[in-house]
Amino acid sequence: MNDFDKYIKSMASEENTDIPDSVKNKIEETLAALPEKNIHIKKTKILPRIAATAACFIFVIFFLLPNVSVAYAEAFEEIPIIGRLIKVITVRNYFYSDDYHEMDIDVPKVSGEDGDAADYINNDVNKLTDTLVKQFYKDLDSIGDSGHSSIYVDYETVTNTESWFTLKMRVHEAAGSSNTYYKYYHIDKKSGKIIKLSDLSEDEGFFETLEKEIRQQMRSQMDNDSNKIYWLDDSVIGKDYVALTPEHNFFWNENGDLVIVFDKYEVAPGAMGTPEFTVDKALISDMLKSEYKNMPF
Amino acid sequence: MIDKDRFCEEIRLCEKAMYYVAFSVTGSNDDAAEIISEAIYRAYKNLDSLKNEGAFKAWILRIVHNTAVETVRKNSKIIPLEENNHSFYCEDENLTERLDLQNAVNRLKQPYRTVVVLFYYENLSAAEIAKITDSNVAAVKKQLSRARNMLRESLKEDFNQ
Repeated sequence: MNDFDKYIKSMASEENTDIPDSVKNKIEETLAALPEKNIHIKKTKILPRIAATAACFIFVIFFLLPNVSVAYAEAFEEIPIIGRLIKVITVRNYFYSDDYHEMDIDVPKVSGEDGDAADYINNDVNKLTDTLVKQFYKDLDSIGDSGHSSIYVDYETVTNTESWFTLKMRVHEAAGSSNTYYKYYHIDKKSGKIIKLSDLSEDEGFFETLEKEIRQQMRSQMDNDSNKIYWLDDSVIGKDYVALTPEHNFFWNENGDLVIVFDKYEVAPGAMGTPEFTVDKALISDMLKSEYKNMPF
Repeated sequence: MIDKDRFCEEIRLCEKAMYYVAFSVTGSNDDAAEIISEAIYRAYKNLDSLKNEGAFKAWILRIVHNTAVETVRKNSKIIPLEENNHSFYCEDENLTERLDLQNAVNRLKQPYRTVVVLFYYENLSAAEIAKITDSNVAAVKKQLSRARNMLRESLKEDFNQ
């Protein structure tokens, strides 16, 4: 190292180079909003008032009345399709609100004929929500009135047909920055088993086909809209963001196409939200197991 | 794999370097804060891709740099990295003005600004800087040489004292 470099490095070490408070605070807010690494969290906005009203209506009509009125229950059971479909209710709600912090977590319970699969979902959901509640109160103690935090959790029954059931859990956390996560649970009612993405096909090229299609859609969207950004060729950390896992989130849309869902920050900057890519059923039909070729059913 | 608490500790240890990199690319504290926040999320999300915990600093700085460049390109807020190789200073630079180091560095254009802060403020080697900026050692050394000459010119009164 020459004298000039030594001189400059000496000057650099002597300069007052504390980072601005605004930047430091942003970093702390971001760190506070990170989920625990071993948690599969989801996120959503608080239930709209109309949805809450609808949930109350459903609760009264389909759960409360059948359990307090024998006549109503008997009549209810005589409606075959409804008897099969209504199997998700809110069993708990965790709520907290003050000037700085807010929590609203709905805990669903799945019940019905598919006992083991329903138990699996209920246990997993309970673990998730219990962890989030504990974390919220932990953050509440540590942050106090020096910052804001919020967490909202709700769920949606995406599909509930004769043969297929999908529950979507959504978690939204905010503490400075916001973060959104999803988790989809699927039950094949014919087999009574929990189904993952990897269970849909035995074809070795299934995942590669999905990833290729997603990348193509990403490129197309970016070509047509300069405001859209996906992390396709990130050479910085050598990470393939689009790489799907056997448990990757998905659902069937009303046309029977497969929709692949990504969490916030998973394949794009936060401003892109939670991207979804619809894979036409015609593209993967030959790869799907025979029982899943004609979804939804 | 490191857990959340350890990750947060590592981030705090690197926060000044992260700020240097983000600010050197954007020239804005607000943008730097947003970029660092985004980079932290990206890093945390892909923490399993960090194979060597000892390389955390270089790993996170690379993510910050990439996020910053991506943001700048998207928003077209600042000058692109492909600079006129013979013009290190902005148009309003007054070469006769006596500058302290921070001002002198801030007036450098890219990519010299980023290279200089990583070399002089963070004491990183040319090889480490090359990895962070997705460049090569020869290019970094060349950029350092040019930046050094410009700094020497603007700080010569101090240096000769």
